Amino acid sequence: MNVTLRLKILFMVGIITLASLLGCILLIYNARVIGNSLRLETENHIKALIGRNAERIESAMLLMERNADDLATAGEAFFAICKATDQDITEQIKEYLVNNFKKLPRAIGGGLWYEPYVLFDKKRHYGPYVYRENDQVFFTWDLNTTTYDYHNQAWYRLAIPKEWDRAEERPLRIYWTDPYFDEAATKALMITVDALMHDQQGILIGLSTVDFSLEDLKEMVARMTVTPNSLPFAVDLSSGLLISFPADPSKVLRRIDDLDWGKELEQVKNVRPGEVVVNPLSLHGNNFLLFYTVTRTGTALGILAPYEELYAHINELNRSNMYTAFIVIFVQIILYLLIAVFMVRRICNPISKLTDVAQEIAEGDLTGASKSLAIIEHSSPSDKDETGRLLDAFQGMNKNLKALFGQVQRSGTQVASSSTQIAASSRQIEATISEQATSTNQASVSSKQISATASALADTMNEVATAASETADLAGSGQAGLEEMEMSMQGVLDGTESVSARLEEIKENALGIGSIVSTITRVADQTNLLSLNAAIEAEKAGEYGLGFSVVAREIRRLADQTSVAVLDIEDMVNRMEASVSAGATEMDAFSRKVSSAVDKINKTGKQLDGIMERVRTLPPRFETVNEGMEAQSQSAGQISETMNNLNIITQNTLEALREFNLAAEYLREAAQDLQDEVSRFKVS
Amino acid sequence: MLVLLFYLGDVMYTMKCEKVREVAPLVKLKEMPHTPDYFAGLFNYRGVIVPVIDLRTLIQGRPCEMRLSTRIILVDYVRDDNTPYILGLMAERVTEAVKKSEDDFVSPGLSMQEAPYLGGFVMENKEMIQHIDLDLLQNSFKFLPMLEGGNNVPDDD
Repeated sequence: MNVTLRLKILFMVGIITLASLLGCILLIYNARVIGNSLRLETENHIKALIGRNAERIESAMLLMERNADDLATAGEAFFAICKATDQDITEQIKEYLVNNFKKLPRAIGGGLWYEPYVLFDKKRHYGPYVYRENDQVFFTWDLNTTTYDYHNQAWYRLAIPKEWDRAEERPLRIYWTDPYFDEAATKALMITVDALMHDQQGILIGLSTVDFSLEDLKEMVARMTVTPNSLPFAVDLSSGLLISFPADPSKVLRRIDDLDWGKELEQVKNVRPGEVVVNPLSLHGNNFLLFYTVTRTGTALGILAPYEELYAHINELNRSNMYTAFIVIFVQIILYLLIAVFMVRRICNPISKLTDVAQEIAEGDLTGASKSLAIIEHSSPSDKDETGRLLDAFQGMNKNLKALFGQVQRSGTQVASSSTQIAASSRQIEATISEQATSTNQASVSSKQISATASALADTMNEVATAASETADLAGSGQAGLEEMEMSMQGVLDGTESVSARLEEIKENALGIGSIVSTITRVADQTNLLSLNAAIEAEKAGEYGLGFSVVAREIRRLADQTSVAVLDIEDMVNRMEASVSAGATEMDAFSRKVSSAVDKINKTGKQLDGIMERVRTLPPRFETVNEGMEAQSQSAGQISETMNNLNIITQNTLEALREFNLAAEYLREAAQDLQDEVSRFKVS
Repeated sequence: MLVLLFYLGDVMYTMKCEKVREVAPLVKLKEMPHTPDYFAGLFNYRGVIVPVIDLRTLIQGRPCEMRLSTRIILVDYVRDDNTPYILGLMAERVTEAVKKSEDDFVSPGLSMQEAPYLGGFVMENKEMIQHIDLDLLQNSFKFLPMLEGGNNVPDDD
């Protein structure tokens, strides 16, 4: 798959974005966990608060019960004293009650209440009562009226119902009344604790009361406020009445069932004392948490706390966490996008453009590449970062490539023209060598002729020698043979002329050889010159000229051999010419002497003796001539042999030249290939 | 490296082929009046007027023998202003070119004030052949008027 750098960068930026997103989500989750534990902590704190206050209320109410019990015991004692001594113990009771209630600040009132006529036969009502007002304890008999008739009050009838047989045992010793408003004495909201009194026979004689002010309870409950709008409350379970509600005192003594949140307390009967229950509930669209517990004394105590307010700080913390996280994510994404855009602009775009340029260079369009480079440089900022330097490097490379290929093209053209020139030169040499071969053949033929002529000459000389001998013999045999001798002399003369003519021919042929030799020398010289220049060109052509320079060296060696051979020929020809010249001179002298001899023979036979003497001197001279001829014949044979060698050398030279031609052709082809290769690059 | 072997009289000399453009046969040269005696004349080389120096006169004080093997070595030079020009050097028996390695070039470490171009030697079969440095040789005839301009080498194609 073809994934561009741009996609890779975007992919990486995307992954980094996702990772930071994940990190933020983890932070939010962590904050939530901390928030939850804080919430639990808050709930535990509230539960502990409620539990503590429930214990306090419980202990306060138990104290009331115990006090009522103590008061009842005291009332029984007073009854026994009264029956035994028949004294009026009213003052003692009064003192006892005042002292007792001074020690019990939580009770706002209390008293001893006897059944009708049990203490004094004449007194239907006997209920001494003390009450608390402004931290002072006051004694009163105000409740011993027939109009109030305490025996028929609800708080009394709860403990001792009407028409109850006094001898019969009541199921409980202590009774708690429902909360009520005391209109008679204290004018306060209260709960009364009744404790039954019995005489020694176990017959009911009355009861003692301790009044527990709900104002005190209210103070205790009000202390449980946890947030400004949280609503602490206390409920009397036996009656189902709300006994304390500091937030709205007007709701006190109303049935809890009538309140919209009160129904939630239905489960309260299943709650064990000391256990704090938390119930979430929704009222009028607001969420609340309801905490409550019960005491052993039958009071339910709780707080109705608005959810939002309770967890306001935690929620605020969560929200600010969330907002911070979102802002961080947003800023990160923007930064990553900026980075991505920057990288794409500064790295991907220049690289992709430069890749196009590299493609152009690869295709050989150097001119197009330099145009593209100029456009890129114009369009991108001139920062000297890596891409800027890459661009510079590309420009430098393109420039150098252009220069290089221009140079290579020119060099290729030069090599091609040189090779063409070399090929032409070698063809020229070939022609010259062919010419040389022809000349050599001619020389060979000429030398053969010389050889033949020399042989013939030698034969003739032998004949002359024979004739001379005969002449001598004839001269020796007598004057009679003078005529014959004259004839013979004439033959000698003719032969001598013939020798002279042939010598002339040899001289001419030798001259011909001289001119051929100088032609060969010139050709060898030109060959040497050409091979020298070819070697120099080959050196310049470098690697392409290696094989070529070997051939050039070979040709030069052959040319040098030719030169040596030619020098030998020149030498021999010179020697031959000298021999011929010497022969000719001798021949002239001989000829002249023969002529004078013939003349003398013709004029006088008397000088025969002299002639004979002279004829006798001839043979040694013939020997000299003969020797010259022999040497000449031998030289001609050597020339012929040398010519053959020369011919072989020339053949070799021709072959070498063909190879040379071939090498020049290869060089030309290589140069052509080079030109073709290089012409792909447009440099202008 | 290819070096050219040649003689001046009986003494063998060499020069490097790097700068040698071509070896041309000896032709009739156009002589110029009021020139140094080692200036052999002018030579038409493919339409370029090339001044020719007689090396034997320069070095030995005697002109080259007029033989077939007496030839003109054409050398490529570059002027100070980077324009190229050609100089012809006339020498005897210019028939041989041989490969030499750089190790065969030795320098005695002394230079002659009169002929600084004759400093080096080339070893050939343990014999020392005097080597002519073409770059230094160029400095010996700077005053020639025709070397100052006009003799530009044409393009080969």
